Amino acid sequence: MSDELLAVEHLAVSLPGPDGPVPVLNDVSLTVRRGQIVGIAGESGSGKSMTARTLLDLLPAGAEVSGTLRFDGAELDHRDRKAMHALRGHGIAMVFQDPTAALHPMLSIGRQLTEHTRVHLGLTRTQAKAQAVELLEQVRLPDPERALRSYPHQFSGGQLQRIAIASALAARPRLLIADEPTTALDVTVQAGILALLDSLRSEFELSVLFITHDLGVLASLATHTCVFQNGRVVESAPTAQLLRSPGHPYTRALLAERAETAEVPR
Amino acid sequence: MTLLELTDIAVEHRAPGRGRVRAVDGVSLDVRSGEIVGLVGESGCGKSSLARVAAGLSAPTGGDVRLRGEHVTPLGRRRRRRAEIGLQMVFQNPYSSLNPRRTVLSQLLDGVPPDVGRGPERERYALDQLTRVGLDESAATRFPHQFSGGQLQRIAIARALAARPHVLIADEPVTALDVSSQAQVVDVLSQLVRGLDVGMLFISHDLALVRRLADVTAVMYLGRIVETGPTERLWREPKHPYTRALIDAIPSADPDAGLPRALAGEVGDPAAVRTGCRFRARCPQAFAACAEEPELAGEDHTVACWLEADDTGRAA
Ligand SMILES: Nc1ncnc2c1ncn2[C@@H]1O[C@H](COP(=O)(O)OP(=O)(O)OP(=O)(O)O)[C@@H](O)[C@H]1O
Ligand code: SF4
Ligand SMILES: [Mg+2]
Repeated sequence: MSDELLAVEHLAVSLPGPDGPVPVLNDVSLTVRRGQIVGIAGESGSGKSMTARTLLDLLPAGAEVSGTLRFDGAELDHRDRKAMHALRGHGIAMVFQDPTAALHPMLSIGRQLTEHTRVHLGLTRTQAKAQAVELLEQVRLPDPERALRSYPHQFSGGQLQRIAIASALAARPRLLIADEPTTALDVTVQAGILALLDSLRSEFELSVLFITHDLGVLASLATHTCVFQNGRVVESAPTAQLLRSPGHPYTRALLAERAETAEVPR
Repeated sequence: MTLLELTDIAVEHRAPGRGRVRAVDGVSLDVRSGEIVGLVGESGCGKSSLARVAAGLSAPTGGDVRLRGEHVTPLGRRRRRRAEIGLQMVFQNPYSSLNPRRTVLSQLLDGVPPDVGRGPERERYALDQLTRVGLDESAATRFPHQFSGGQLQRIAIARALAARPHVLIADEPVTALDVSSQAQVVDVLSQLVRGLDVGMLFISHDLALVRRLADVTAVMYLGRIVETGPTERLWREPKHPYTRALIDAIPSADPDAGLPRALAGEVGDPAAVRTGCRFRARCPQAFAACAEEPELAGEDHTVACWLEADDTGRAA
């Protein structure tokens, strides 16, 4: 068995515009192995989120897609809505920048964490609850039993993001796509989430595609990093190598920019 | 020259089911002309509560706000045009701080002081504010929905500037923007402060942003300032264990640095009663003396921690 989980080859996406299709992704290729965290870095508008949306079948109507997608050894047809949808339920889950978007404000955390597993995995109420408690423990949320009876507004942003991750993990995905999951959070909370993702990777062989504007976040988390600019992958290399000797001027510019403000003498 | 002086400000909120929340608990802070003071701290530490008091938008429970030596009475008590008070605020969300149904020009004109003159002069003045923030004059006739978030925030800044404020209070002004517009807005703000000799209180949870912009940085924890100092000094020689923890939590692009260190525990509840140093529950260096609350001490680099108090603390 190959350890490749996801392969994207020569992906191109165009969106409908007033004067015809506008290309947003061009010849994008990347691979995520089992139990590996792969980073996608770049500025806003560079195509990072569009790549995630393609994998999650969340492209707007009228989008034109070409290229090859392979997940867990099977070739995927992005036009086959049913197959893509099934993938979203099982194989691939996602976490976004704003955790409130992923959680319903009027439903208890317990209901939101058990519904999916009861419907899709056929668990009984008790089993589903036990699994929810376990998930909340995995994301290091204090007092999981009580959290299940609570509602989203009773938690801070960092706690909600951990709950959103637990909810994404409920479907037992093999790949988690995290799109700027820590951008809106305090650095102290971000540090906790990065450590959490790293432990989920090592303990459960979870693969993660981590999208961020900040190369620093990827330094000790991602094995491999792809740098996006204007819808293209301009550099793709093992993270340590990319950071030590960036090959593309754009990667160098991103690093220089953050060196001024975010690096401290340690 | 000191423009804005906050002295021993306290802010209490009454929240249903939570009782009294002391969101700000004795904060003193000065902003001078041409100076940017950055205020950092985790979510819920009281930054916005302090900002509203500093901008004269709400009354403090205790303490005193002075602008150029004069007592600031909050809006609402005495009806008064915002333009008169010399304090202007820029909010986090430009989408909700601008009226979607009015043109940019008409919203800019709201802030133009009465002494500017009549119709055409006022309009000229309003248009000049737009060019100041790097926007084209043609923006004036358009409506808010025709702009990106970054452009809208620059319009909100232009509107604040129209009133010729002495001090700008910016509460997370770029948090809602994407990263490239963040940089633009931050550049505009810093150029304006230097060029116009106004002062600015810049509030953000993003430490790297504050480092790039602020001359002086103040670190807030649970309603109190625990350390202040010239920005670069505070970064290079942080004295308070909380400041150090915040800096350590920033990821480094050095592949050998390892994952950033997470601070143990959660931010405390400001409604809870506590004794001693407010950082004690999370402080890796807490010792006996910390059962009493340390005061902010020092010259331009001040810190509230017993580790820094030469003999008093350690002897206790
Ligand atoms: N209007 C209000 N009524 C009751 N409690 C409030 C009110 N506004 C703020 N609080 C409470 O006061 C404390 C400080 O809140 P504040 O909004 O000042 O924090 P902040 O530092 O601005 O946080 P953030 O970074 O999340 O914006 C919090 O515990 C908050 O729940
Ligand atoms: S006073 Fe004590 S508990 Fe507070 S920060 Fe200093 S060492 Fe830590
Ligand atoms: Mg706030």
